[in-house]
Amino acid sequence: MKNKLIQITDLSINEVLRNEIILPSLYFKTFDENAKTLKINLNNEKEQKEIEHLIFDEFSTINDYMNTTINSIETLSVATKIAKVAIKNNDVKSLEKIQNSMSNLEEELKALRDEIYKDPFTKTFNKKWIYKTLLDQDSKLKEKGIFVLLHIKDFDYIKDEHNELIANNLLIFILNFLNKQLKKEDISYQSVRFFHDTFLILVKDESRTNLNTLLLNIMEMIKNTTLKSKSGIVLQARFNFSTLEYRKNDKFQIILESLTQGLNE
Amino acid sequence: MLDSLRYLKDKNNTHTIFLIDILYMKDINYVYGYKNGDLVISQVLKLLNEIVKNEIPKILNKILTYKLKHLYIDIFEFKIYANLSLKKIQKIKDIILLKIEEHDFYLDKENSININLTIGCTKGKIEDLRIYAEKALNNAKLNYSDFAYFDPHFFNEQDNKSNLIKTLQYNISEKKVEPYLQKIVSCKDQSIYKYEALMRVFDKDGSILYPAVFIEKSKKFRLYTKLMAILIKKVSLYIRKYKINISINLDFSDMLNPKLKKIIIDELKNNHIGEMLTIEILESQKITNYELVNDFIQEVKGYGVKIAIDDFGSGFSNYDNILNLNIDYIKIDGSLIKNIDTDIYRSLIKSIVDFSKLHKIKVVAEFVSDLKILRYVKTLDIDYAQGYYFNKPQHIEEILGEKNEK
Repeated sequence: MKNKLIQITDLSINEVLRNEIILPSLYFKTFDENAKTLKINLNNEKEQKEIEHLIFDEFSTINDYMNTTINSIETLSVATKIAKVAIKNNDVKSLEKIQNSMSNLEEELKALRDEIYKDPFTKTFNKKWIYKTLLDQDSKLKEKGIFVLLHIKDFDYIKDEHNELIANNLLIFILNFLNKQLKKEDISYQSVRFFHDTFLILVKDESRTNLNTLLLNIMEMIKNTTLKSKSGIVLQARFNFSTLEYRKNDKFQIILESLTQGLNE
Repeated sequence: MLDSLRYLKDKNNTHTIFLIDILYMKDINYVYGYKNGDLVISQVLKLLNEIVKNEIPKILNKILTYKLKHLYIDIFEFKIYANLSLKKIQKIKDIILLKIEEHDFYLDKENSININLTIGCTKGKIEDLRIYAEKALNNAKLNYSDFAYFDPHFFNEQDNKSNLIKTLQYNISEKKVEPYLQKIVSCKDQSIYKYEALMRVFDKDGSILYPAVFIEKSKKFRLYTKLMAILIKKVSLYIRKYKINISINLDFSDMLNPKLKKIIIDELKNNHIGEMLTIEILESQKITNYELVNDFIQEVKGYGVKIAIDDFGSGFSNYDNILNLNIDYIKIDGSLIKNIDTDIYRSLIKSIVDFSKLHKIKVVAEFVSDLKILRYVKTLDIDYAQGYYFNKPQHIEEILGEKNEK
């Protein structure tokens, strides 16, 4: 159910992003339409219960974030007080202790940040990360770079025809292959899971021509690979992509539309 | 019956095809003789017929329209004129495996043996459906598994293949094959010592294709020799025209290939490029005859060619084999250099360097991608370095452009 709702959310956001102003009513309408397309009846009692369950889970997660943040602030406050005294008395042992608790705090904050900004399945960033890191308040890009919109072909087909596990394995295989090749070519990049089967890759300090050549080659290498499930089903991994160079202050929505158009050409 | 005939005639209908392969048939023939081998095959065919008539209709809940035949040596083809679900395909596969593998096959002297099968399956409407069933069968065999099903959704692979053949043929006819050059620099002063030539071909839009995409395939399509011939001639031309030292890669089969060998010897004889050419030989278990390799080395060395062993330290590297070859350089494999910052890899690299120094062989470190790795390489007293820290493989014009700028 949660996956279906994520899929409906993705589709809805993609559709409403084309509008300058997004009123809640428009979002609800689009969400409702997409739910119907994916055969989810939001008014059905069973599905209502599942949604309530999900909302409860979301609240619990937010509660956990709050508790971690409050604990971290308390740790920081105590450490600051001890540090003041330790510095005054030149107490090396206490300073060492503070350094350790600061390292732990850093780890905890990193874990928290990952939970908020990373896709739990692929460990790539999620859409929240784009809005937090790449865009300013007007949804304009903060810096220049190149975007790659990469669509994993046949994900839905494999999920429907065989099963979700095989489809997910295919997704992870392509991602790992891609990561390996990009690292091999010394490309600096960050990946975002944009839809269930589509990734947005942000590349810096590389020419678009070189990047296109590299991706075309990776696409061909992957085509030559066959994957086999435990039950003996032989599949081929395939993706298509589009790339676009963007400048500082370009509107994200317009860039995204061009990328999507490029993907469909 | 009429329905069945109609189905057979209609080319738009989906068929399901199983290729059933007896594993290790050669061994059965070798151990028990061909007569007994033929006896096993006839018993398998009989048993398959019984399974098809008695067992499979129970699974499908209907009488089948099918064809069963002994295709060749150890393979049987079972074609069902129906679009079967994956679930039913799995059930059919299970019953065939069970019935055949539990059966005792009698030999002429009243002894009996058991056999194992591998099954490849696919379904579709196309005429050359068997190719995909064979792909499934090969895949199962490669993975030591008893069954593989090739999903027909991925049938367009054939188009990719013919596209690549066309691209390679275009590169051959238009002589588009190009050696891209990567610098090999001296660790002492980082001056350029020589270049390694790496083969690149281009698609019709001018995009480069990397070796990982086309080298193995070109061997399969029997176009590799033609590509290599163009590469060798271009390298020879660049050596003469621009007075630069270049190394090329040859594997064991290249050295045995009479056409390639003739091209190399002709270039050395007629164009006197020997002193500026290095041949890198892949050190791997694929070298089955070191005498032949040494004959080749001696012959080209007569023209002043230097010899390097490529990717040393990967796979089954063997110091003894190296000592039997008259070589000038050892190129340490990238997988070791990438991990040079860990103690265990550094010790391993150091042992290769010490061995090389002892035998007056120069050492090249590949995959030097940053300053940190270069520093480690220098501390180990390695002579030359190569990698993205210096340059990615470039077209000769880019290399010349850089030279002129300096």
